[in-house]
Amino acid sequence: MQPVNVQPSDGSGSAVLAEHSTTSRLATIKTLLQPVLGKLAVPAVWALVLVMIPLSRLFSSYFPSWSLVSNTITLGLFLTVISFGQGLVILSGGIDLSVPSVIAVAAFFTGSLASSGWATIPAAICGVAIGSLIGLVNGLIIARSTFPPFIVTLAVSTIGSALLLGISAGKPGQTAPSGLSSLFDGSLSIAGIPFSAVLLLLAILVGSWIQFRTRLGRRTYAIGNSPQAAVYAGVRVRITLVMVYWLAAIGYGIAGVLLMGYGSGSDLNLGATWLLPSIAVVVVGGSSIAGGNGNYLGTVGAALLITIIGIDINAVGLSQGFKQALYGAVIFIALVLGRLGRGRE
Amino acid sequence: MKPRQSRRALSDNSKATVGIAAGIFVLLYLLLTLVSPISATSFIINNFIVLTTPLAFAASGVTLVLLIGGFDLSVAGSISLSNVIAATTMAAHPHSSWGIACLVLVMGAVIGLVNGVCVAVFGLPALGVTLSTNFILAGIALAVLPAPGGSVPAAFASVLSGTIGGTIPVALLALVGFSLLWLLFIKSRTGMSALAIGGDVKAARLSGIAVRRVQIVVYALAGLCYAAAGLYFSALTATGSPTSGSSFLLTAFAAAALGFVSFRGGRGSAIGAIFGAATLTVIPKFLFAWGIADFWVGAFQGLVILVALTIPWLTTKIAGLRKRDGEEVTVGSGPTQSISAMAETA
Repeated sequence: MQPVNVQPSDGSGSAVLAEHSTTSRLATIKTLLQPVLGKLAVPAVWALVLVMIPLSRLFSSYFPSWSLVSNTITLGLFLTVISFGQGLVILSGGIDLSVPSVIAVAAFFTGSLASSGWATIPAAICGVAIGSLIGLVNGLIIARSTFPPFIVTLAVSTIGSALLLGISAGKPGQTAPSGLSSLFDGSLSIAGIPFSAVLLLLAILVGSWIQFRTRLGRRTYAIGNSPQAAVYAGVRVRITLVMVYWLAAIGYGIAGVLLMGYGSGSDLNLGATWLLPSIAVVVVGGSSIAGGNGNYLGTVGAALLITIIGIDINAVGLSQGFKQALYGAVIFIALVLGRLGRGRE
Repeated sequence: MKPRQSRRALSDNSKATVGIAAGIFVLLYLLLTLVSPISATSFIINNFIVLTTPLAFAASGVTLVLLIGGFDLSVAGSISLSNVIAATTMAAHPHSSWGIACLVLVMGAVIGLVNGVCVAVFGLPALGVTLSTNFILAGIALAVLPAPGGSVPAAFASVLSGTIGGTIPVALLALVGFSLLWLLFIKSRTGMSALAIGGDVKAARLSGIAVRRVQIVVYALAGLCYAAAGLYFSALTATGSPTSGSSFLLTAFAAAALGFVSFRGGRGSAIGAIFGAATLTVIPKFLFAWGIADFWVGAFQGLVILVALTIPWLTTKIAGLRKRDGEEVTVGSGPTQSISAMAETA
């Protein structure tokens, strides 16, 4: 009896297993491909970047020029680095409103440590580490609770900004150490390529590597798609979320240090204007604002696109208010396009 | 029989949480009068109510949208824009300030309507839509009035921030009137539907509730609340500022949390949120009375919000436990009896 009983069950079992594995492999390939290649958004955004460079002629007779391209690369670098963090958080199904305070904290401590005699690189590392504490706290709270990320990040960053205001009382402005300012004054170049372009390439490589090649990146996709399913699939959701918010804040902190070098100094409002564009760029780059779907290359393209548009608006001389309203409108249009894209599929 | 029962259960639940929210506020205010006895004078009380009112309206709007399980970040931009429009147009036409106030209210409702249509009809995510409208509105406010300025006629401001006969604050009347309107709304068909949608959208749709219509109405009413908040803020400060609303984003949600409004929909009351707003306004007064430096207020507010966020979570936990106990007593009496009988026989 026993061998007869075992054989069919064994055979059918392995058949079911094989069938299951092929379908699941197909499914995993599909789910892996969809965010990476599936959307037209990435090529469309990069095409728009290329089109916008000659089109900026419409905004100013001095454009297009080499200075437009180099300014786009330099200013786009900051947005690329910031939106890496924002993109990762949005990918995980959250949203991060702590961008401005992390930038300000990282820049302030870099400047104040450097001015108290530290070498530039340790000061910058320490500044970024202190700023990233905000992200760490965000991540710990969001991972342990069911609170909405937008209000947690807002509350934590309000505390962070207030503490910074208290600590910096009387001396809010900091001058950048000379090592940082020299990054952007054109004195540094590698094989004839300006240093900001090198940094941009580095940011793209590291960002894509983290999002596509590391376990953390893949787990972030899984959590954004469905936290419940991620739990069943054995993803350690809490640790991953803490890492996502922490890593994001490290990105903002690095951007804060770079911004300080670009402006040769910092004040407490250094990061105030970067929150909006960071969200706009992620959505325009084809990521779903609900999470689970996104591509850093699209985000980078959108960062360059938004930067060119910002430069054009400044060249025309429109006010800050118009710029802000335009960012809002861009987010809205991207939302509608994303919705239409999903509807057609 | 059944719907009436559930209706009573709902109102009982919200009554209890509103009572707790009110109790926390009253306790804190009494403590404040101990720290600084001047807070007990009618002048300071009137000032306090006037100071609370904009936040109370803003928190009520946020509460409306939270009730249906959505998020509305356009609160900040809406308040900025209505403040800026009131301050610029009222300065130009001081005699028609009440007409302008009505137009601002209509504008707020239309903004909310747009949000609601985008969310309900086009199926866009509420967070994304209201974030983008928030930025658009804040941008328009900045374009209309690039730097703080403008003014609100004294006749308009003094009515809203004054008293009737020197004793009853107009702001208090506004809040009481608003609370009565809220009670009417929440007992109405639309209000009950809103609670049902917040509890479970699918179930609400299956039971024949016009989900889209209710969502649109709720967003529009929320927009109306923000405009009212902006108008009251204008009367309070008697001037306009393009960034006046930005501080309300955090505090409005915090006030809702302190008013025991659930962030996951279906549970909460604007009256609770009003008391939450009052609690949030008392706290800086304590810091001031103790002589703590101004910039720590921000840190403290952030902390209060994080603590307040745990309150609804705790109450749902406690309520959940109590509910489970209740079910065991009424519904589960059969099985438990049989189990205990089995245990006895064993």
